[in-house]
Amino acid sequence: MTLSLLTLMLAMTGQAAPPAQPPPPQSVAPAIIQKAPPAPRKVYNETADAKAQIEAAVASAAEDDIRILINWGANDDEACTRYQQVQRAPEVSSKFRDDYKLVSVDVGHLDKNVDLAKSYGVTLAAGALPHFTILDARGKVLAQMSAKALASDADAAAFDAKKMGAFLTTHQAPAPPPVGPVFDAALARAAREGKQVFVWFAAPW
Amino acid sequence: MATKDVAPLLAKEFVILKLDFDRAPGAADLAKRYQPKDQGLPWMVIVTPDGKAIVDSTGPEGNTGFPAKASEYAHFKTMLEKAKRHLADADIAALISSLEAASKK
Repeated sequence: MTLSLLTLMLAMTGQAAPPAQPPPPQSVAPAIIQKAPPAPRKVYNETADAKAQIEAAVASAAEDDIRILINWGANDDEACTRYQQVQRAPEVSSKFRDDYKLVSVDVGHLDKNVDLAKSYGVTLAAGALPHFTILDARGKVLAQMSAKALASDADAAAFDAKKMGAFLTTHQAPAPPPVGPVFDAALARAAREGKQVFVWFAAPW
Repeated sequence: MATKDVAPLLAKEFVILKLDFDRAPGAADLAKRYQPKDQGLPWMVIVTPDGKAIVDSTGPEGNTGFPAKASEYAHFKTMLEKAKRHLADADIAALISSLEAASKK
């Protein structure tokens, strides 16, 4: 939870937020993924300014005190394509509703955004994509993982979505403090300062 | 620039409390205290220091969420007018203008 006037200011003046909406539906996918989907969409923006993408994600995550997952990969890499089904598995997709901002960075044939990756402690290598970096809400690197670590115990050629879910759970931000005392503190402050409390129920998604 | 203009206006009137509905323990219970039924997100309510609701973001057409069109600006203006004790009409006009400018970006 963020108790910040600046947060509202940013939202009010810097970004036009979408209208109120219910949480997005979660897709269902098997935990063990063996085959690539037939017509993958391009998830790595090949023309984007990746540094700016990451900086924007950090700024956005800071508002909600959540974390960022950078997915370093390429659209024509088979493992990166196969990983997209992991991303859609419930135990993974739910993390991107509440706990993480996702940034997918195109590394081409290990010839794009290489220096940017290095600046986050990542040395890109053939056969090791996708690679994942978790940042905190200030942009500090918290954890790294290669997709090789997602290999299923039963089949080394398959990804295990549960392993990705566990990785994300391990490094997600702690839950905000209980609302009760925070709300009471806001009421007390409003009484002291002759103000009212503008309560804004929101969500990172 | 607009942030610098608007922040002092809202701070004149309100203590802003943003709650993560999904992650903050107790947020959903607090919302229920003020909502007759689920209104979606984001949803806003202005309360007095003793916790009584003055007005909320559910307007004639439902929850406005974050105001982004004329009818939603109008309801947000209504919210501010109902709640105001320190805000001047010019302050409210400046806030609404800021919202309209943000949605055009």
